[in-house]
Amino acid sequence: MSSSTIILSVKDLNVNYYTLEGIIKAVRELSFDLRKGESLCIVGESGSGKSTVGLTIIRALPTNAIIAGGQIIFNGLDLLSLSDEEMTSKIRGKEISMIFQDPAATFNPLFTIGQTLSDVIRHHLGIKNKVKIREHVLNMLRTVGLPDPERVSRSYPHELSGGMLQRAAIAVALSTNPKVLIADEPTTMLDVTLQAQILDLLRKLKEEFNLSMIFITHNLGVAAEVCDKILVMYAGVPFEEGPCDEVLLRPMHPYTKKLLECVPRAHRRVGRLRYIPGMLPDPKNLPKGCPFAPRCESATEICNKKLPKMVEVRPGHSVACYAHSSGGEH
Amino acid sequence: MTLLNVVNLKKYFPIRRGLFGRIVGYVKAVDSVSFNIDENEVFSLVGESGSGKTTVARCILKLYDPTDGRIVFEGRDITRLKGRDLKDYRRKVQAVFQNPFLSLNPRMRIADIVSEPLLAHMKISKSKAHKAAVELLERVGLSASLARRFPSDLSGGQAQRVAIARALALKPKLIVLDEPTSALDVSVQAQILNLLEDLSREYKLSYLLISHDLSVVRYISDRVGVMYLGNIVEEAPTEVLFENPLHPYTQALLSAVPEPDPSLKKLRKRIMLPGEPPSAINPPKGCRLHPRCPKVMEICSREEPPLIEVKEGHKVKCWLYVKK
Repeated sequence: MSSSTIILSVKDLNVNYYTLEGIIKAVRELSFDLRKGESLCIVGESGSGKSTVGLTIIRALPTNAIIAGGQIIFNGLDLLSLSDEEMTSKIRGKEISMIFQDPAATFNPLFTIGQTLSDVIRHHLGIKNKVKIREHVLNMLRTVGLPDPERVSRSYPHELSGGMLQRAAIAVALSTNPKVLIADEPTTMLDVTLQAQILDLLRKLKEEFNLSMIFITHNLGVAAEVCDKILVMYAGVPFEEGPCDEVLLRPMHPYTKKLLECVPRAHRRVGRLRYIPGMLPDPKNLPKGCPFAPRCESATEICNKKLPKMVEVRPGHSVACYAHSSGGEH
Repeated sequence: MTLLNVVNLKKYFPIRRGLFGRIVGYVKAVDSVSFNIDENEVFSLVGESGSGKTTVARCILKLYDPTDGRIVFEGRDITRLKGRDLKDYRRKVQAVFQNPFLSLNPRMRIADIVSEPLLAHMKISKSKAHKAAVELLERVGLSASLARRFPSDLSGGQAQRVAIARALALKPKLIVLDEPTSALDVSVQAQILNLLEDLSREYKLSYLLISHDLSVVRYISDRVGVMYLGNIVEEAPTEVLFENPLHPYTQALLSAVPEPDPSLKKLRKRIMLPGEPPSAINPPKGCRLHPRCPKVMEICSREEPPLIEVKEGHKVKCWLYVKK
């Protein structure tokens, strides 16, 4: 898998939000590569910047956000240098699609599922023939496992349950045959049995369409179910990246280790839960060095001074921590 | 010792239509639910949305009047309590809800929030209540300096600690925890779960935990009831239920929980339930799971199975386990 071509590459990305209370550095010095047919999971707690990454890639950030530096290379193009028109007509929703936690975000409540889907297909694929569009619509609804596609296509978003609506949103996202799908917490609002159905569907579609996927979640279990690679973020900074099983079985960063220890398990009996003392740092007032240093047991002097860089410690497994490397000191 | 005894609890919500609000049907949110909670025991009700678990909790908190059935607390039926007896009951049964920012008054200072139940129920002076409140805040792991702050100054975890301190203030016997950690980050969730565990031991508390998160349920409960469409379909001591689930619904529910440990993942067998839970307005006849059940038999669509005890303390509502 790792030998396939890189389809999306994020380099030294920095994103800030400007608020009345000050500047929030939402993403700092983030780099990663996404290969064809691969699924990368960005895992983090609230304020880790994981959702900002997704919105930056499709250039749908709120107006108070400024991309302070970096590149996002897709198919040889730097997405950050494209005009808004080029982004809308060529990339967003066509080459790179996104689904959200709340599937209703994909739909206009005044249009039926079928109308929304036909619009996307007409606009992005340039199909004019009504019969062909209709065929494509029903075909997509069938692909995502919706029973009775005819009825679903005539339904308004409020007439469908959460699980069905998320399936319909996936149908919209995949109808243009995109190369990359970004899924931001797509199962967080769903019950576990429905979550399992949607994760299964995404896994199946990934194979079928040879999709590359960026999966954003706070749930390590969900990450383990769908991903080839995991990227752990904390307070806007990447901490650890590597193959899924490797990161989960042999985590290197103290934060990843702690995070795994404080998750209660349904499939195994655990002793008393460990927890991470303290709180997430105030995003307006981040510590100078490693943002985890104030909560980290193995923090030393240097951790409070300078942000460590990601360094590949094992093959394909990188970590940003002075305990494992000199932190990219030059 | 049994603290709470729920017997055949029913709660139907009428559906009204038309100008005169004619009743055209009922949502049978809770349909004949029975269980016990012992002193100093953690009992969990787990289920998906629409299973009726929160409605059960609200009946116990007397936020709803049950349609039928009894709720016996310390030997007295509380469904028709009034006046002083009701006030006494409210003192002994407290609640912590999912979103602390909705359950804490945003215009009140933290210390006032925690001392309010003391002033309402006990004959004590304001200064004494304030002192007790500060002590409670410290017990739940908050610094006394937060006492003069407002809820909006707190993080989610801190606010939930305030809600717990308020629930503890009157030294209750039972605390109803309705999804107490669902709105929190995992690292904070672990702190709150540990705190709840310590408090139950220290104050000899019982909990009724309402949750959809099976991993939280396994961690903190002594016994678990699994709900589906208004019924308890299986009930057992926690480890028995998680290691040896009998009801097809419990099996499917457990197998759907994603597991972060890759070595355990491979051992797991996935059982998929097709479709989504049907509406509680017209629940399926017979066993309510039968249209989705992978082990459905002929009898399941005809007759509702009884809840039978297969081993001591392990009850299941499924025809598979009924001996002919």
